Amino acid sequence: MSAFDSFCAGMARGRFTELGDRDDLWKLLVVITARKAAAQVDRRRTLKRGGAWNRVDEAHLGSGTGSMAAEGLLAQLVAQEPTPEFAAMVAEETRRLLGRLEDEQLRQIALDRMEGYTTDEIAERLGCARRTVARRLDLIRQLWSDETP
Amino acid sequence: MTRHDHGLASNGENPSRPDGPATWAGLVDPAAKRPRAPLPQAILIDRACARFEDAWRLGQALRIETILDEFGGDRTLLLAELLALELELRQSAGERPTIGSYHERFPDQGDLVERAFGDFTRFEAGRIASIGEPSILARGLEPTRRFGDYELLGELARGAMGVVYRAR
Repeated sequence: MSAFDSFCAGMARGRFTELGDRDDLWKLLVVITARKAAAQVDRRRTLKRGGAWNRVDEAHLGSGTGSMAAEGLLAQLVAQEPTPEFAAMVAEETRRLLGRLEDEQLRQIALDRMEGYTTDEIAERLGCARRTVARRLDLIRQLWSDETP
Repeated sequence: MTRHDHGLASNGENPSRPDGPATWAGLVDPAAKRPRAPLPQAILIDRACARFEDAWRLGQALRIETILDEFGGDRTLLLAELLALELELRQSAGERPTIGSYHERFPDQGDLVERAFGDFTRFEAGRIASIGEPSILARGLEPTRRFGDYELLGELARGAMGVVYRAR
């Protein structure tokens, strides 16, 4: 998945903050994957305090804390280079969530976005309204966020 | 000239600052900025809008009013989406929708109509400014068309990455 590779490369070079709106879905996927990974670590962990994941968990993974939590989590994640394991998890999560988009146009919009196309460009490629692309991108984010506890 | 990436004004992205820093808060969780229907509602609204756009592209006269009448969910949120969609489709078709006609069609939804027109006009102005061309809605306010030191004489071509002008 070349778009994913270049996203990871950008992340590793610490350019994450410079990436723009077009990477919104990647950012969401990273957050979803990190939350999932943290939940798995939590389940296995018997220690109550002290681990890095615990600190991330307490500060940023609470489900009720909304966008600030996501922002804080991303800030922590991009402070370090993604491990190959984490990159593989993001790729796997991406495959899984793309597979859950049953509507063909919805999946195409997600793929185009992850390839780096703008809303305007996707609308032109698919021959639909820009508003439709914006609305459906929103729906994709909602579907993906909703599905992760 | 490149076209900047930003969504519609009511989508939580800021059309007046297309070059501004992207905030993760809004991108990761757009609900932070935009009132959003719960997922089952959002799916219904999306389907209703898709039906409207499909009919429009097939040249069928399916009116917003008809879709609203048949809709069992939150009609306010649906109307906001449909208004934004219809304004864009009509403008793309070279029409100039007037706010008065929408006030007549939706007399009980004055605020919603105002907001839809306001958002659309602002968004188009921001979007078009970013590719150097005044929008149809803003053109009346801007008698000379300039880009930097150039006077734009006409449009030569238009593509995914921008618009090519003849200029002097």
